[in-house]
Amino acid sequence: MNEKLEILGDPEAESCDGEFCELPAHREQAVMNRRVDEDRI
Amino acid sequence: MSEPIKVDVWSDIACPWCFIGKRKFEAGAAEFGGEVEVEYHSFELSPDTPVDFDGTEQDYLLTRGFPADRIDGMLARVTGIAESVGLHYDYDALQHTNTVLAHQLIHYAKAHGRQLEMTERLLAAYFEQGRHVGRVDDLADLAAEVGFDRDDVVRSLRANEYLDAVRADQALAVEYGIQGVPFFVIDGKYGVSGAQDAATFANVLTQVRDEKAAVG
Repeated sequence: MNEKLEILGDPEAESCDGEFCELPAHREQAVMNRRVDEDRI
Repeated sequence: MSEPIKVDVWSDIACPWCFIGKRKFEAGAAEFGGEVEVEYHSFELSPDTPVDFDGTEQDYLLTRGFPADRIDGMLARVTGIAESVGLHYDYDALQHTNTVLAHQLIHYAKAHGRQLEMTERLLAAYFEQGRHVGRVDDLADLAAEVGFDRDDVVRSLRANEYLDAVRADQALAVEYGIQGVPFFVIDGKYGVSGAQDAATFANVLTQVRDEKAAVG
């Protein structure tokens, strides 16, 4: 990364890098957990 | 009155997180409340994609070596997150294509003062409406829907009028070290990668405004 830029925010935020645009594995689990929680509500 | 905060965004039309990130950024900018000037820049995630790919998004991912047993789940998760920000992705209708002409159209729109409108139209056409965004005639139709002169758009795209501008954006991305999109460069100083939460964008914009105020 260019040294002129100070990087802010969540470094694991979803992005497309190359051809694939997957969720990071731990974030997939977090989304699944959130859905389970929402289903309970 | 303070100057607007400049936000340069690198993104691709064929990037699900770019549309989602656009919505999250817009929500963050609204939460921030100050004036923001946004400029989009070209980034091709897959420049060797054919204009006319004969197959579904699942087929495309298979050709690229994506594990077959994970494709449907991955697309369903992305679609669900898109829904959470009000976007209705339709991967069954989506037509995978090369996006270099779409980027040229975005530059055409920028030259005519309507870049944001064209970017939004292209993203919605691709992800929500199953429209083709890789061919001159289809792009000209979309441009006409935004209000541009269709014939002039056809002329521009056939002449590759803005190809150099696309390449210049890509060179600048390399200079910044940008490897994934969406990527937001805020005030030329801060980099924010990915479809961050709206609050993150709001916080960064507030930080920049405060810093600018502190130095007068």
